[in-house]
Amino acid sequence: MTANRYDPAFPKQRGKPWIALGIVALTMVVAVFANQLVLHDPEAVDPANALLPPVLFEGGLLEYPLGTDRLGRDILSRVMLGTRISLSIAAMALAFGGIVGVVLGMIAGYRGGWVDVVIMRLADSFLAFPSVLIALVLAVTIGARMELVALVLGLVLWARFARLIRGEVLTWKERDFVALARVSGATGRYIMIRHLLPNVANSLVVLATLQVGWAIVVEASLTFLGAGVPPPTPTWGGMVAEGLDFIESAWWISLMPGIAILLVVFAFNVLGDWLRDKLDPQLRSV
Amino acid sequence: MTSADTLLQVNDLTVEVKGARGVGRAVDGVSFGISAGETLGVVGESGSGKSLTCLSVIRLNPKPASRIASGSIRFDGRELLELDAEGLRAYRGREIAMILQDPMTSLNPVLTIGDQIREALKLHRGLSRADETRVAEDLLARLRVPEPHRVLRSYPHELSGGMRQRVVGAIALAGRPRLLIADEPTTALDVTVQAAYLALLRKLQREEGLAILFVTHDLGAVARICDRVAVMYGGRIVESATTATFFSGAAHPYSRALLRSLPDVSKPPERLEPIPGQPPSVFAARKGCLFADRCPEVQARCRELEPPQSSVAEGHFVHCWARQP
Repeated sequence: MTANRYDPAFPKQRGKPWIALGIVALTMVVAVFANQLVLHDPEAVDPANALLPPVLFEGGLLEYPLGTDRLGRDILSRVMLGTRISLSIAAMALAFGGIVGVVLGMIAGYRGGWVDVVIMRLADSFLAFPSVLIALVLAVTIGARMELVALVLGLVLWARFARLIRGEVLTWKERDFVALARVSGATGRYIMIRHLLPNVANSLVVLATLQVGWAIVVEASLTFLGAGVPPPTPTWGGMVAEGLDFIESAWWISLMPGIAILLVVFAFNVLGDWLRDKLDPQLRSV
Repeated sequence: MTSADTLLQVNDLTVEVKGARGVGRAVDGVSFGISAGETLGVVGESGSGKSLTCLSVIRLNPKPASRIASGSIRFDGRELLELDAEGLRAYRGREIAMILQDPMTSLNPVLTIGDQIREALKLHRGLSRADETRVAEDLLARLRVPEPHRVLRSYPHELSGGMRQRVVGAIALAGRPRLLIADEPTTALDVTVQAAYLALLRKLQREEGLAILFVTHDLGAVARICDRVAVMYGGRIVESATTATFFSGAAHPYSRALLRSLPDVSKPPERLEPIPGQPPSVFAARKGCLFADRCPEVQARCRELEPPQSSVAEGHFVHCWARQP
């Protein structure tokens, strides 16, 4: 009956995504300990060593493994600090969008009727929301700030969460245990928190993991366009933009943060897919 | 029918349902009463309105698909239809509890059995954590669940269907209700498990003086547990009698047809008699007796006028033109 014991009659369908897990774990460590791990001050300018190529190329120095940018700043250190910025923004956006989305999605699904209609039409309109345009407008009017980027992402994210949670709640609330909880005098809020939330938790985790990659890419895009985190704070999108002018002579300035985006987004998506298969109630042992 | 010790008295209850074809009457002027310690069986085929009737008693009828249009539901002298949501909560669980058909979906898959029983105890009794566990174990033991201590820590998927239904019973009894509404509680169980479960309900009922509203389409279960039977057809009660009277001398043609469609194991196998035709649609015109089209004893007036209630004997009522004195 225990689900964990390995049964040769049911071979595992897929191995654990060790590479993706490794990348995510490494990303987390780098994000938390960026200040302790960097070789150089990411914002220290060193004109004597400007535009150095990565260590394996001609003229590269071991001191600057991934090369330097036009001001002689260490690219590795800047990518590492950028990890923290990118993940913090993704985390803030997910926290905001996730909490708002779960609360509204639950209420919409459980209450139904006009409440459902109002919330879901609102969600539809936020999904149709031109986030890049709004971010540009906010950047111009209020000024580009990290919190604003997270807010703009969250405004789209909540609608995605609300949609998913509403759909799940619609199926779960028809189960008899919800009716029985009502017979035993439980309030709507109690049923939502105690009975429905734990049942939608799996889907929630999967969606959140898959949205991390989306948040990182959009944040990088916004910063690339100048509507995101302002310089000199190192961010992946900002670094890609900075390197554009030198793309023919010093390609590494743009490529290195680009690789970081690719790897992290890829890892989170693989992890999300794996979690979805793993947590799918259809595939779980009953 | 009203007497001093009547716990639940339902009078002229009408429930309307909304559909693509308009508004229909799924429950049409139903009246019945249950006393403490008594089991009333409500029988009928699918769509006869029996489940909706008992869901409506506790105002759990699906909304906005259905609506209690008129009638009165008195519990211990108090009109339940006048209560607001807050007032109703005081009755749910504490006074009236429920067991539903499917033990697979009656329990929350992500909470342990202990969590779910304790939840019911917390909502109704306000015990300390240690007391809750002790009372929960007692409840399981009373429902003859082996190793209650271990079961408390199990999840629903680790138990068999029969065990789950006993757990559902334990949760229902946690609030020490006076009325138990059981909506086909044995339908999803194996035949042997059914018998044991019914015997258990009977025992608990005697111990607690519990009134049971037992909804079923299984006449075998009726014979085992019910004191009185109400037969529903097309949203109306067409006959009500004591269980003994019902099995020996059912008066309504529909009741007789139901009994004839049962196999009798004591005789050599013969062809069972199905009831010809289909039950009426909820949305069909409600004129005359709804069983007229399928009735072997149909008369001209059956199609025109709704048959009034007539008394066959003490406590035995029937709605049928062919049984008019």
